[in-house]
Amino acid sequence: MDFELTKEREVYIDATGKVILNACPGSGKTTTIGYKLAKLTKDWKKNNYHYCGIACLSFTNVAKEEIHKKYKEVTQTSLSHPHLVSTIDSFINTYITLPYYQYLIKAKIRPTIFDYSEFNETLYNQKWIMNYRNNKKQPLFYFYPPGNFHFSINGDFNLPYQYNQTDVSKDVFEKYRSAIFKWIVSNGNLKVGDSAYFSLQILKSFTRIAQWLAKRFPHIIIDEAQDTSEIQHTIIGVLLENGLNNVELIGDPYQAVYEWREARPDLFLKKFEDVKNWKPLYLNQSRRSSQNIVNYFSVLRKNTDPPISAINQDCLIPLKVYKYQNGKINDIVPKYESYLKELGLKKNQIVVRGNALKDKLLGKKGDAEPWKSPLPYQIINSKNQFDGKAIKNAINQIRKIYIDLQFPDMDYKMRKEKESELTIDSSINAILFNVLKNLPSFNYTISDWSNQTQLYIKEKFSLSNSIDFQIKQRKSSRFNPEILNEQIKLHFHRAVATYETPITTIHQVKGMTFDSLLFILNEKSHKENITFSDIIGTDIFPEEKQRLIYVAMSRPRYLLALGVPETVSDEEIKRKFGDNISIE
Amino acid sequence: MYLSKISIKNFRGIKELDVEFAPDLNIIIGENGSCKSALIDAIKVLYNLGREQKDIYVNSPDFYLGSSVIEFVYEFRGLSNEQKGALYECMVVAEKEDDDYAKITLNYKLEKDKANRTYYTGEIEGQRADINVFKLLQHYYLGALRDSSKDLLNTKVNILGGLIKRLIEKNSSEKEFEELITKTNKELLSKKEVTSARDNINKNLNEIFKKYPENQVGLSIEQSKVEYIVNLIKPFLPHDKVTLEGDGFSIWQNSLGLNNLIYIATILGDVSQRMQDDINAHFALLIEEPEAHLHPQLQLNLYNFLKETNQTKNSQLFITTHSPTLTSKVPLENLILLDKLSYRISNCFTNRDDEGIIENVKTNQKLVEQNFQIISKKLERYIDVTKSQLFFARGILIVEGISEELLISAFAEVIGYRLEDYRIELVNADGTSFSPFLFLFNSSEEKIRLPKKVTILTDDDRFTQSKKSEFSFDKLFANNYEKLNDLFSGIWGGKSSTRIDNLNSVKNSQFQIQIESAFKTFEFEIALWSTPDDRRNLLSSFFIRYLNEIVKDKINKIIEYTKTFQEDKMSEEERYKVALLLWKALPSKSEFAQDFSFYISQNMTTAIKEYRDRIPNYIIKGLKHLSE
Repeated sequence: MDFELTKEREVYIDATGKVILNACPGSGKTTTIGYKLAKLTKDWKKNNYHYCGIACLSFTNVAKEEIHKKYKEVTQTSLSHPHLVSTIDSFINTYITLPYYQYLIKAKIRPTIFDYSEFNETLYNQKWIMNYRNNKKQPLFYFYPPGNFHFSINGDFNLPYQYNQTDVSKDVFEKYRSAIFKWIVSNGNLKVGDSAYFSLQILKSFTRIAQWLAKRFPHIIIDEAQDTSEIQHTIIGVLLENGLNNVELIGDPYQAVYEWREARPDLFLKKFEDVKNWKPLYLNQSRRSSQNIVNYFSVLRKNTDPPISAINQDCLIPLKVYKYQNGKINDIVPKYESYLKELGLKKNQIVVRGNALKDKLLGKKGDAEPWKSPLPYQIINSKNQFDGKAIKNAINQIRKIYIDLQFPDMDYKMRKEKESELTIDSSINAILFNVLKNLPSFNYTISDWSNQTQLYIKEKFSLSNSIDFQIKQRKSSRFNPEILNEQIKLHFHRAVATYETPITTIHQVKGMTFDSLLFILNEKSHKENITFSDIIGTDIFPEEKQRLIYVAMSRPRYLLALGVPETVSDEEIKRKFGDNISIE
Repeated sequence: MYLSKISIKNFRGIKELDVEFAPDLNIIIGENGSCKSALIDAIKVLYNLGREQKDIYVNSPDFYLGSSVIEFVYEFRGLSNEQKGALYECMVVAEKEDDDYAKITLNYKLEKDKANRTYYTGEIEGQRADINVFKLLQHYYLGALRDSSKDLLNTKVNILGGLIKRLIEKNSSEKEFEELITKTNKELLSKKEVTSARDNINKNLNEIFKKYPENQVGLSIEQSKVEYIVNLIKPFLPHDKVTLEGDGFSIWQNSLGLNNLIYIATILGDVSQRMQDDINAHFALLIEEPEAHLHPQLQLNLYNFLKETNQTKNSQLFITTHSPTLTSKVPLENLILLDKLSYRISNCFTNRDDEGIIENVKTNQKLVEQNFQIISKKLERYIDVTKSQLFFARGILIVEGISEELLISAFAEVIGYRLEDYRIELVNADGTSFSPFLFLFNSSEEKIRLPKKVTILTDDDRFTQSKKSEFSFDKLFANNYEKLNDLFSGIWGGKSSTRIDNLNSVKNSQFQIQIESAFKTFEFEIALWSTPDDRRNLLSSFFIRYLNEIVKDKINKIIEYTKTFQEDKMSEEERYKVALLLWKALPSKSEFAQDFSFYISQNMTTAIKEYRDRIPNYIIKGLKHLSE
């Protein structure tokens, strides 16, 4: 693999201690980390005690796999014990919360860690939770799902918003809140965020655990560090106070788009400016985008930031702007696609803000809801994935259904264990595969399909009890009984784009590279929407909306295209991006 | 770091066993079948986890009768900070930071006749350290019947080769070695003898092939890899002890015992090398029954050597033994007795303040930790090769001196009670310091009370003035038996020594301990029990007949004395006085014991017939206690 060891890369690769690396889009950050890991591990045993290692932590599993891949490309070996490549959440769970929570609450408990919906689902099955009701005798559960409560760094446990005090008395709400609190703490039923909070408490209460962990992993690399939360930053701080010497925070604050997951790019920037304690370094050469594109997305950068330079000087295609009328965004896609053919660009992408716009482009209507049971929806989803060649996901999903049906009495923890047990059971997997393969056709009517599939699943899974999808009878806003005589495929078709170019949200393209990208802007300004006027630079660090635009605009190599409502004038556009652009 | 505790469930003969270990040296003792080897193997199972070539496997026959789950729990303490990091996933947080430890739990489940292993680390199930972590646990095993010569002479893999190889790697001198080998091989091959042998072959080949001269051979030395060569380096015993070169004896000509020592020395060399390479590693040296090939003096040499060499924090010795020699030299804290439960002997002297034991009834002071420590030191001093056998016995009979030792064996034979049959060890305390021994058996806590029956036979030593010369045999007859009367009333009204009360206090109500005391002394009891009721029967007594052979004059004098009695049937007082005279007529203490025991053995048939009912009752009671 060719890897150009530029000066800025070299400086980073040689840097030790507390390093903070600000890496611009397309700077080859992951590759550089791969090289650094290769360098560190090569002489590791000579410079370190045996059985201690590097922890390289990323934000998502995809990013984690990417680092594994890069390391393997460089060294032809896999990074394994004593080193670790993981996500920061999983690291905190595995190394702090799960083993040591027991000492914090002085009970021999190994916590269970849930995601938001699993958490709510588990509580839903606790009878007592429904005893907490508002003035209209409705369970609070439905208005304030327990999963919405969270721990702040100072230990407050509350909703991130105000509850409606006219519907529920303070006293009842308080009881509801503390019942959930007690259930969480005494059983160790934690959401990922709760786990981070408790792990910080663990490290603070038992500094020796922090010391051991700093010995176990004397070198910690955190990728996508702009998305690190305040609690996670503090955890790293506690480790630093307890003997950790080498920490690298690597990221791009401009690409922080996870505020809803408590990302704190401001803390990243604060450390970057704290030159007394941290070594601030830049990777400011883009290997992805042409200088043109770099200039376009640099509109959003503060003018005090050092400029990004493009390595590729060829193929300077100007910005392409497509105007659409009266919200007819679909009109511009064919124009974009024919331009791509003309240019010969292969890997292209259309991004939009929000699922509504995306569905509109995909021509997808809201799915009907003919059943009360969640089961048929899950089966259809699994089959759609299967047909879309996402076999692994499909099998994983049908396996869950299988476990739910076979072992209805299992609690969440047991189900998870069963799941991991069955994952490697090849005979079960073969059954699951065949079940999906031979599932009753989606050409049947909803009513026929339901009857057949109920029997089919019962037989294939060898269930003793019949299953019932609970077909709805009465008409409602989401259901019209007439559709029962219509084909399944009309209502639950797999989302297939009418266009060749894939259409996704901005979050989905983070970290990716395309030859070209069309970014369709919203017409109306709204909290969730992105309009042309949102593309602005300021002299302070930008808001998340601007950072989303930054992420979108920094993906393409050669061509950046914008979809803009016709209400935006050419002058306005040129004022922002210069005269050398093409508007259609 | 050291292995501080192991808990075993359902492994071989062990249903459940917890053993605590000392950080440095552990001498594991116990009868045959006390599962010493199973304990060693249980340690080995863990130390094999990180090894590619395993020297032990758990299989279906290893499951305790009827059970289907074997469990091993290992705890390590005294970890350095680096080791706590290395064993991060195994750490258990204790109340106090110093008590933090690493814990590994191994399970084997019997499924379809196969033993399936699972493990977890830390306190609760769910956490699993990477299997590679266990590479830091290294061990060397020297089995009981192992022929160490075989390993030393193995040309493929052996300890010495491994040691040299590691040193080569450390100095990065692999290349140098390769060059040296190539050079030497080349020289060797260019020697006249080799080349002419080759030419010979080729000449013949030429004859055969004639037209095809390409069928010629060259000669090479097949194995020239460093690894192969270093494994050919073997220890031998050179005649020249200065240069250590030239001729000598080969290892296989050597005695097994000496080879064991060479082997152990090699291992220790290897260990210290590896310890430098990896400061986190822990080394367990497991040696079974080193006495098998070593004479007692060499056993002690080995012990002292191991003790001195094994001073580093990361190596730990586990030795099983039946050797009293070894046992007697080991500090109690290094001694572990297996007898259904496991007993770390030094634990019999710790944390016992609560039991409120009083050793001296006069001062009435309850013993505290410090007193126990002193007692343990005393015991350590008292235990010599013979006394250390008590650890291997089922019952223990402790007596004051050589007289009791000699005679009680003889008495036991007379009553048809062979001490060996009951696995009873007769311990001569050489005095009256019995109490330190009792602390091994007197705890109210089962865990620190060795499960053995103990009898102490001692004299109540009433009226100690009896030793004065005014009470010598002849003087007792003067002035119309004035002194005899004094002696009688002195003893009759005398108070037994406080030692008896003290011992009964130390007994701490533990029924496995029995204190039996002689009225006055052992010898007086013998005399009394042999004195008949009727003066006419004096000479029919087996004991008096014996005395009559050696001190005839004195016996005559006693018979004369009995003539002063009014009736043939003696009163209680008259019988006691006769017994006193017989006692005073005895030769010196040790002479009597030797003599009388010899007499008994010479006249065993008569003794069995006539003397068996004349053996002092307190002795019979004491023996009975041990055999119940």
